[in-house]
Amino acid sequence: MPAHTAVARALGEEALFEDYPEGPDLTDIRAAVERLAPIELAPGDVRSALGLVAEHATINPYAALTSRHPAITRLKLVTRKLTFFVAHSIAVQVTELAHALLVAGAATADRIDLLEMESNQVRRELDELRRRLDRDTG
Amino acid sequence: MTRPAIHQLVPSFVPGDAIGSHVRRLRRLLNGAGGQSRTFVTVAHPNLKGECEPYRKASLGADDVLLYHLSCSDSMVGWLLNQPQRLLVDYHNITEPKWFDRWAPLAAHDMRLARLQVASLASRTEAAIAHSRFSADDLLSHGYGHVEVAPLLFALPPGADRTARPVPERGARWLFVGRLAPNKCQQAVIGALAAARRGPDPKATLTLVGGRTVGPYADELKRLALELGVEESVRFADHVPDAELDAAYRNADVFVCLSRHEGFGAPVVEAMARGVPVVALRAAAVPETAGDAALVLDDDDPAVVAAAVRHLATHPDLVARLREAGLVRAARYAPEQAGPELLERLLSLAKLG
Repeated sequence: MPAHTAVARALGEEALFEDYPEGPDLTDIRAAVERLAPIELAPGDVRSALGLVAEHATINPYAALTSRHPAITRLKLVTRKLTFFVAHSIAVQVTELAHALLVAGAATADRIDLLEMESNQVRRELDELRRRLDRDTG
Repeated sequence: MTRPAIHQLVPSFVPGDAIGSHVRRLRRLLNGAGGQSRTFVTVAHPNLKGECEPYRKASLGADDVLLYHLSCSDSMVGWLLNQPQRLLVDYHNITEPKWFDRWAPLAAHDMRLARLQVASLASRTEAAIAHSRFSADDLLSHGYGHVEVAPLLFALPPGADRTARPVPERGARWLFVGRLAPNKCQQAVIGALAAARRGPDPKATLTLVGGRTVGPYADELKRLALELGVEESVRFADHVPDAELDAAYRNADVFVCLSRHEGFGAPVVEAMARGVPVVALRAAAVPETAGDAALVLDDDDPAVVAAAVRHLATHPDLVARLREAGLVRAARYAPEQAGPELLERLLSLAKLG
């Protein structure tokens, strides 16, 4: 095993040197980095799916201008300025639609949760009634 | 009697692109070996139109062998399934869609489709080449019968500066090269830089070279740098010309790769070829690409990564060892070594050697 493999392992095990005091700074950094982690969807996970919708709910009317060629960047800028009035109007409407869909999605998720709770309650009551019936007739 | 030709099929043929560069180099090798290899494409950059033909107009001989470069979903797959010629696959890996679900649902959809196409080609494919064991295992899990690992062809600088240059204890210049994409986890590099700057190297800086392919993710990276107070210390360099990329490598003190999904990880080799010490996360194909020539971490926690860079700064002997091992490692991927190896493997798979 090369020496630096051992070094890497030791770094992982020790995690921190004295120069890296555990504390609010590091906790903040970890939390900030974690916010960019992927959202993984389990089957039927409505709330995580809504999280994905939320990521794209706000439409940005500012098309990117970057290009390897400065002339194309300038052309894109001019086009963007010329069409911004229309692009902005559409972006606002689509954003509002997306946010309305999020509200509807959240309400649907709430309703599903409520129905699941009620059906679980009904199932428990049915089980209890069956047990009683078995006891009384047995 | 003329020998059957190996023709390459590539969905998107673009100059400067890793696959485009690999395809062009491979064609030269195939033709140099006495073949008459042609390149068929779905779309091509205008500068490359003279080097390729649309696949739908391909006139092929019954004995020809087709080599399909698989890296994304494409309409060519449906056509390929109906061709009578023997088929080989050169697999460049497909990123797991989960990395893109959040930031680019359309791209994630395309990746799912591409994975279905990987599976649909399995029974039709005689043999496949992958550029890492990681990618080979992916193909095997999709039902491919014969997969071999062979080198990717890409440009490396002819000679590295072998002068021992220590990583400075203050003001280390970190570098990562790769498009701004969620699987490459640039957020972890920014977080590690922030930890380093709040720790023992308040002057550390980071350059992120790579195109902005996933807009919302790229925007979030900039927001993260702002939130962590390192916006002045992180340079987003976007796509850069080759000369500027070379300068970025040569100016770097350390190359930090915390990518979670790489089918190969060419920038790691590019850094090694220029004598830049590499700190990398043990994920996907990166550890096998880096071999024993990088400081490979099991954890991408900001403090651990920052500590690893600091360790290099305080251990010039380790940096020298990594640099030497890196140069040896990179030499394995140099075109003059990798080219003949890939050609031999390919000809043997096509049973033309």
